Amino acid sequence: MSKIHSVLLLATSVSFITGCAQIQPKAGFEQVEQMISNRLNQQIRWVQNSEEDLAVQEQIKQLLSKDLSADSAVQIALLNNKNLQARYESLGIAQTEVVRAGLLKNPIFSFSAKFPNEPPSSASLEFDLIGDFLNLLMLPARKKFAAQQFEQVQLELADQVLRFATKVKKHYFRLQFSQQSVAVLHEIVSVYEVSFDLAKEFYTAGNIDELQLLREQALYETTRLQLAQNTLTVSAEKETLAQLLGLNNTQLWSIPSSLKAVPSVQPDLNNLAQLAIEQRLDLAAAGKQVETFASKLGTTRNWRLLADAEFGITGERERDGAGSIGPALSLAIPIFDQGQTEIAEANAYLRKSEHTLSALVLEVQSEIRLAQQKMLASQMMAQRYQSTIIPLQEKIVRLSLQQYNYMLLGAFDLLTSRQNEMRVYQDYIHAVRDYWIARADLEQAVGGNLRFEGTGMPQKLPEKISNDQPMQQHGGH
Amino acid sequence: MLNRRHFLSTTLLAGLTTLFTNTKAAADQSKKIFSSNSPPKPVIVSNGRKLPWEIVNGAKQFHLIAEECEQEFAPGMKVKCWGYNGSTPGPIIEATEGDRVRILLTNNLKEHTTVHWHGIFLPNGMDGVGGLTQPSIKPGETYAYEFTLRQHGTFMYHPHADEMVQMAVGMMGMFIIHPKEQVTNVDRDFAIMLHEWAIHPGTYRPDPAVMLDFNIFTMNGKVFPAIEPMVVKTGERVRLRLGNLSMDQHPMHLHGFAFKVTATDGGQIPAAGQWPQTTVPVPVGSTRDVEFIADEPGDWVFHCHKSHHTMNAMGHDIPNTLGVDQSEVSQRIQSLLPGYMAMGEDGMAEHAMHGKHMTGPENTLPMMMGDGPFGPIEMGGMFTVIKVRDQLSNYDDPGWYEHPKGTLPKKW
Repeated sequence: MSKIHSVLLLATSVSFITGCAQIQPKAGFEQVEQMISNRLNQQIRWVQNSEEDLAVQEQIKQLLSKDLSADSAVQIALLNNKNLQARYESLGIAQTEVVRAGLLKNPIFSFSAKFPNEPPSSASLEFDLIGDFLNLLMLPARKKFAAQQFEQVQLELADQVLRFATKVKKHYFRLQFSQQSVAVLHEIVSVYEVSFDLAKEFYTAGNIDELQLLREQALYETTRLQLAQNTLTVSAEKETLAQLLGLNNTQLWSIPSSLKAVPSVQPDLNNLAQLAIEQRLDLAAAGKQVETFASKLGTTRNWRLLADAEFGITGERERDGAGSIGPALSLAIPIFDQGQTEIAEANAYLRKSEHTLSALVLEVQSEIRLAQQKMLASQMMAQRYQSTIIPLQEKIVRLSLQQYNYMLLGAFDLLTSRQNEMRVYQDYIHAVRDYWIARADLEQAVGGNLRFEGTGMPQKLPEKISNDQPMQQHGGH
Repeated sequence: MLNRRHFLSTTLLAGLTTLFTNTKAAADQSKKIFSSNSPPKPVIVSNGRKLPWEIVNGAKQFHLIAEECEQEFAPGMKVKCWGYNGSTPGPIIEATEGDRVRILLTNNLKEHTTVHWHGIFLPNGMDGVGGLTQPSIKPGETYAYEFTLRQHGTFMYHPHADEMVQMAVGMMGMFIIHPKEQVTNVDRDFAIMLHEWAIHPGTYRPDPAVMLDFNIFTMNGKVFPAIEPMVVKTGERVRLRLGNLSMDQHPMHLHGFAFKVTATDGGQIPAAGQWPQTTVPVPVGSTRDVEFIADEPGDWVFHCHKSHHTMNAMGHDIPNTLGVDQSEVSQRIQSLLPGYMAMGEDGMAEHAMHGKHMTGPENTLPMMMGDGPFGPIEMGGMFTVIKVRDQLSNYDDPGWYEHPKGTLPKKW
């Protein structure tokens, strides 16, 4: 009986070792939350039909009540996008793997009874309780792999969240640019329209020919179509952003009508590669994979000869009533298979993961360089527009007006100079958009927020180009 | 009035005389009538200067300096010209038939030049044609031209080296040779050099590439109203000496009087060829002397009758706004383009006001300028006024004419 007792004890202790692994509803999500808030200053929530969900909905409502900033758009998307929630579930799935890793294979109990065909008629009974030996021995290692893999899943998930945030931001800037550009285009169309209407008056008076009138009309009609096309682009971009924000309407929210100007305080662009190594989660995930495969290789090497080993208890009761119980062990004799394939496989996985990591390091550095160049170039262009090209166009309009005043220039040429001024303004906001997009790309390339040496709130751009020409005084007639 | 009648009867007499005698006899007679021992009256140069001289080695020695200069065409417009001794046209060279003249030309330009004595009889070598009769005068060099004046009349001087450019930017002047003896008894003898320029609005330098589309028209380097009026006492005999080295003929028209063209740069016109006119076409590259007796007081206009030549800069390629109703669109344009004002629907007279109230391009004169006693004169360019007065204590500008009662048009 004491032997049976010890067997029970063994079983209990085994189940104790493995029993730690239990399924928790948000296992590991806190770390993901932490990673995101360290990098974005934004919150994420895993909506699981709890009371917390109501608070999230309230927060979204609050954010939607005002014009959305790029940050609040990202925040709403992080809280409300259902694809993101679907991805969070992968963490739950990964967690079951961890728990599964902590469970032992169930031992196999086999029982046989043999009945004599002649008396004495008592049967002889045999039973075996066989467990996978390696399964038990490798339990700690298996749990370690699972934990590593789970960490990798967390890192990858957080990385996907960051990429998603960048995507939202970029779509936000695209929409904002398109909105503003359409507003400017409206003005441009008005100029073409008035130019055409003026041409009609010239034509009615008998002062221009039909050819010139039709040329004016052609310009007007073409620009009007361009406006229709661009208005459609705004709708499409608003739909895209609505999808990303998890909203099923485009009317109940809005973003400010104009882009923010390129800020005067620029991020610290030194040691961005170092920053990326510290922050980038895909790099960390790839590193974690290398680590996992390295430890797997070690374990495989150590235990390769014990594959297919089994141990257990075997017991027997003879017909005469005498019973016996004792340990049982079966071992594979490594004559043919000495685990070479397993080692080779583990080695290959390790090398594969190492190469992947190296490639990723190169990609990250390249991404940083490219995004940085794009950001600096668009910053330079935006500043050039602001400091030189726009004032230049404004002055051209002013001087054209002066020429018009002295009848040196016709009204059509004057209006054309105004159109050119507006077109240049469109080019300017395009450069500003490119700046914000490149900056979002750079943030993604370094795996999070850029460091600023100081703080400077970017100025809001004027919604349309300033036209504060002094009104001419005019008396006499 | 008496003076006028006197002039008419004199003219009538002269005309009759001409009818009944041959030309030579008439010329001799007129010489007899007008000849006197008094030395010729010096020429009057509105807005201009004369080149001083001194006797050196038995010749009247003048010194012309070819150089770049800034000239104010009218307040609000300064032009980077080339001229002589600091102005365009250069100072008038005034001498007398029979004089031995020596004219030094110092070239302070950055390219070579020469000076050609337009219309003057002289040895071929003194004719000033670069490459043909002399080497061009390099920057920094001084050349002396020396010759004896064998004729009298109104002549000109100008470069004959890179001539097209140098004249387009202002290098020219007049050369007046008085007769040894006064031929006609002229009281007021005015010399006016006509010129035209392409000075694009907002610029400061004449554009020599322009062949036809000139926009500024000057008398002695000034545009109206910066051109000094010619002041004359009623009854005085007036001579206008007109020179033209521009690219266009200028039909110069005088209000109030008929004049006779008495000479060209080719010499005196015999009396029989002097028919009465009110407009003298001054051809390109020539001079005209006209004479008349100013026997009717008033403010009489003298101007080029090509009407665009009495305008300052204006667009010649702008859409024609005449009759175009902008009442509906102009407000809309204003909202897109503050400061815009519809103009030109009923004519361009409003521009005489625009010049005062609206900002135009830098260094550009309004296309019409000048205010008279009754309102805007709406002119510019080659336009000036001859002020004839019964009473004058001097020849300073006497102000606007005060019209005797009953001599002004009435609103009917």
